[in-house]
Amino acid sequence: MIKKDIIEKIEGEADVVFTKKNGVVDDIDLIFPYSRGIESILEGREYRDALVIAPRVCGICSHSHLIAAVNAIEDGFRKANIAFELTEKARCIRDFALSCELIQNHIKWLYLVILPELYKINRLEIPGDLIKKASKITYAITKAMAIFTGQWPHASYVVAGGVSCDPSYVEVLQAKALVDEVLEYMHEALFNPKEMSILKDMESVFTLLEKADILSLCMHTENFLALGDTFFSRSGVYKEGILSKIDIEKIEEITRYESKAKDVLYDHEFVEVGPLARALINQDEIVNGIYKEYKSGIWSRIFARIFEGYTLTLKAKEILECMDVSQQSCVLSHHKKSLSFSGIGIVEAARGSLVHEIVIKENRIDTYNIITPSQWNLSRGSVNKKGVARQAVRGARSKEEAYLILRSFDLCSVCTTQ
Amino acid sequence: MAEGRDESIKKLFDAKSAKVNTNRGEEYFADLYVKCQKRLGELKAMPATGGGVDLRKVLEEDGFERRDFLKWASATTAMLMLPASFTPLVAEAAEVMNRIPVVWIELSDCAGNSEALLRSDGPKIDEIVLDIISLEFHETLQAAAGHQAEKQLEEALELFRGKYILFVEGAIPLGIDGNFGTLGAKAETFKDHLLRLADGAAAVVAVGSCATYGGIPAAAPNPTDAVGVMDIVKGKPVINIPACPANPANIVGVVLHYALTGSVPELDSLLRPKFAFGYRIHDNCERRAHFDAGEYVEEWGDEGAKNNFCLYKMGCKGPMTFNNCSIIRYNESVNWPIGVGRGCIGCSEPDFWDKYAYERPMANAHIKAPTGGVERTVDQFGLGLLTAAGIGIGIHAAASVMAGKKNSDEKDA
Repeated sequence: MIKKDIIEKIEGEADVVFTKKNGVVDDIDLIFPYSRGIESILEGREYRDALVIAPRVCGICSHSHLIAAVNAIEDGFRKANIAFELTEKARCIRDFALSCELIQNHIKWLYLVILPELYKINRLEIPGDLIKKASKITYAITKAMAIFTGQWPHASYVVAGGVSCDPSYVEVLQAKALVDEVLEYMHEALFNPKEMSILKDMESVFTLLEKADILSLCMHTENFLALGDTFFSRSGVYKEGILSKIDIEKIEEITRYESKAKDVLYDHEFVEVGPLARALINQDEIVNGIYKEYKSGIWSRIFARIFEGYTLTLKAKEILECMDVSQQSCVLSHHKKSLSFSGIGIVEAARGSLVHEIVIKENRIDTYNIITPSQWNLSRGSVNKKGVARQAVRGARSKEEAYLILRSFDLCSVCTTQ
Repeated sequence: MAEGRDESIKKLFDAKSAKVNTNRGEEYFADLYVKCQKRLGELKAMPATGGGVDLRKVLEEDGFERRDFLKWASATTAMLMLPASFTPLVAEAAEVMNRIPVVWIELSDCAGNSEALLRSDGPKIDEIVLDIISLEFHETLQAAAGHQAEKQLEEALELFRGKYILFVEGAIPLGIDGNFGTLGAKAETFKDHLLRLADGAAAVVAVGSCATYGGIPAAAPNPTDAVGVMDIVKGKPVINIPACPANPANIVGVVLHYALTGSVPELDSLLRPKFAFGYRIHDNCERRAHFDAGEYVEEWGDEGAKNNFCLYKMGCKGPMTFNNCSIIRYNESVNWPIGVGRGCIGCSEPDFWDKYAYERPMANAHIKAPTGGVERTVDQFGLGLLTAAGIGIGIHAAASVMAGKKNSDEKDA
């Protein structure tokens, strides 16, 4: 029996076709019917235009796309023998803003996606204050970010060689006060910093999962990937418990005619990217402890993501504390002569590894290729070799459970099909 | 330099580009006041729809004082270009906004406007938009999904037929018969979906540059043949709130105006509310004094950048862009692009991706500068921007330097 159904929820839409066997979900098919063709819009333009167009790939992770674009350009500069070193300050500001974007994404997902779904699956009324709780943190953290980025979403303060803003200590203090506000809230509602135990809202997640008997729901082949070496995470492959180095050459993108989204594989295999992958590759002790018990189940994924939000908030505070505002904002002057280069920009975005690849010929974008986090997690694959999310939904006892599994990866169709 | 030329340049930059009539005389406002009172009285008598919540209670619970709320109301009154005496009415209108049903749909977009709206300012979003406005249906924000969501939408459309305001985020792709974007199990195209929903709406609000002009999906080579709402919806009041993302203050402003007066705000030729798009960024820019003094940023991170000089030479499109970001700013007014030393990219103007681009001074960007002197209204100015040939605005950069105020090149010489 095949039943076609639709899933559409915060951050985009996609068609899901369920196949059930003996009352449980046997397989799904994910189809992204929608596309704007941003890569082709970028082609032919001056390369610096990528810094304002790329963020518009996605209003949800606009800053990650901005950083991926600038990383690709700067990587290309280096390969073209243009020597420069970003100042510590410029790096700090970019990292701080990226932390803020990840924090707000993680928190919003917890309160606007995961908790409501969990109440629904337990046939309980959804508490009315979830949106308010989400907005408490997201207001404060995006405000802190906008102090340096001008606005969120779609900031454009980043330029090749640095940033355009030149904050004073007053602004740094203003941002710090906002980050402190967020930390205080997290210490009240999510994690107890002294005992490193979970609090109220995280307890609710655990209890609701336990009640619905789905703590370990959603397992796949235990193959994880993180491509970025960043201020908060390392790159690596974590396959069946073994950690190894990455090789960019092993990434393979496959066009699928049925859907606007391309499949993407690493070393011929489908992999999971995102906070859980990052934590395992970072060998984070706390997340590892949970992973040992619940494997790639829903609880591991939720815990890893929210815990990353928390540790990033601590990092964000640290960044502000050691920022030296007297350093230069930008170290590159504009190149008057025509440039040809190619580069790769990698960013660890909220949902996982994001890649921008560019080829520039005489200052114009020749090709622009984007691989987004949701593409990794939601690749379709074939009947014999299924994508990660497709493996994970197998055995779900109801449509609600299958939805919850998909949402634990937090699909973003906006990004995926661009 | 010829005097005539100097004179015309002077006129160009001294021009009160926006002839938004903010003072229509006592009689007009007295009349409007009575009309608004009547309207609010009617709204109050209506039951709150959907998940309507008492604003006062919510604010109290959240530790907002009445004073904070009134402060917000007076700022909003000013933004809507109404006299200060309207402040209590605006406050009242905010309290009865939950009588106005809102349906919000997303088409070919990036969800950026919803994201911006989620952090609207003033009495925060959860109070003012999700609780106070009765958001009957929002594809991204609502809890229901799939068939359940479709059912909820159908119910809202039926129940509030002729009364709801339809907010549209995203462009409409018309290529391959509209099949670049489809919704729901019936695979309705974005165009049909929009037309069906617009049919029962009291007014349609296009939020963001994609919904207004097609935005980024419509940028060359426009792979999906994308267009804006006003190209599709005919015979209905359409209000455009362009910018990328649209400023939440302006979104809330439009609903407030509708609650207050029962009509759409005064619009310019591009259907943008004049209260928000009546002035150029340049007119109220915090760096304007540096433009007038001929002090420019010449390279990212130079001395000029450190001193917050004018970004015109770095490609700032503020002089050609109508929007109120220089006053309203973003993210609870904490900052805006020019505040972080990045020029305006002109995101509230038509075709800005192709015509304006960025980091290229306008002199090199193949765009025609606006012409016209003091008599030009915002409408004529807006059209002039698209069609008229005139003096390159870049001349001013040279002219103010020649005026001997400051020349950064002198230092090198």
